[in-house]
Amino acid sequence: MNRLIKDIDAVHQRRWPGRPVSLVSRSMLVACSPSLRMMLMYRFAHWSYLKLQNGRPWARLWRIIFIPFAPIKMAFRIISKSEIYERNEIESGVCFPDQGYIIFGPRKTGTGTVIGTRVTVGKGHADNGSPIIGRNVWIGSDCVVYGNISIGDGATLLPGTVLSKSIPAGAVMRGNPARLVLPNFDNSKLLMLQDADAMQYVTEKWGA
Amino acid sequence: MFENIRADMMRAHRCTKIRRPIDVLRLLWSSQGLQALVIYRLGRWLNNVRKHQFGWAIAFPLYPAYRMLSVLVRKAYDINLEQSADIAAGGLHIYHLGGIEVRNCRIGPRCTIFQRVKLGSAETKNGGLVIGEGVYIGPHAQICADVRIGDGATIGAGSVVTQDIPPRCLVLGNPSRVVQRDYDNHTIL
Repeated sequence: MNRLIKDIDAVHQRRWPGRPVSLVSRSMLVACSPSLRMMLMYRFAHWSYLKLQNGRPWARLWRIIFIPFAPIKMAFRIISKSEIYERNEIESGVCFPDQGYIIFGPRKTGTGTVIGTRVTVGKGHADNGSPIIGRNVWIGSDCVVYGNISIGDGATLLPGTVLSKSIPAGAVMRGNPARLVLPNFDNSKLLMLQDADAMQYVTEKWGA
Repeated sequence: MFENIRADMMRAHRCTKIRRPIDVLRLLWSSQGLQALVIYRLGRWLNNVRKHQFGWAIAFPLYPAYRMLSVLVRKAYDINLEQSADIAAGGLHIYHLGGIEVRNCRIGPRCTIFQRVKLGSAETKNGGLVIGEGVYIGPHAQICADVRIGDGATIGAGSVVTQDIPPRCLVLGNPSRVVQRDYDNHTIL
């Protein structure tokens, strides 16, 4: 429950910066934000996955209890057109895109990470490992991140990056294959911006 | 039609034989790409049946059902397998869902495509895109030109292909380059 509140507050902070957080505004946000609903669904799926682990007490009973929730999960997957793998750990305060269309399966994701729409993060077929994403990473739209790699804290992936190598903290990457644009960049301002504003910020800084 | 669907299911199931009916249901439940492929096969079959002498008697009542199903798949899963594509039996294994467009192309057997793959251009002059046997096309790849992709080629994630690709090559990047020749994609298909 604590984690859910943190998730909601992170989205709240991005959407309405400086606005006081109350129960009403939180519930409004849950009602109107598809990204938050995706996050809540992931939390439930992750919790149920942990319950169903072999060797856990009452695992068989939980398996029966969770059967009716399978259609709900499938409905969420189809409505948001995205798959978020429940066996991987996502820390609280991660922002998903409202538009959906993400296939998201990194081993671990740090807090404050912002993910754009149409992003694929997952296992590489060549080395059979999935990425570890650090804290406060900004992943732009249309990015593909795959393979057994790690992304440092505060890294920035500009839109359209295809990344298959580890990058250090604070790096800005762009292109396919990904190339380094800036070694040290403070992306705290970029993390706070919403979709169109973030796009404008990126185009002003690095061109289209 | 049913032979083709059987082949597709076996491809998705990675075995030579589907043992129980529950396997079919489980496959259809878990794989949205397979559902789209089954509906595509239905449309192809209706198009063939229509040409026979009294085929219209079968095709006419079933056609609205096919149209509704295809629209449903397009809207719900965003997987657009158009009838202008010619997919061989056991031709395609679609991973994930969203943004898949396949049109005006010929696809050989044992191919694998991922989410957000775009195959084939809107207008074609000479036959369209031809994809060989056992081609792996990674996520976000786009092949929107009338080119030939050789057998056993591997097209990496996010690459945009505009030229012919020789057989058994690994292709990466935008614009795409041949990174490695004689690349074996047997394990990843």
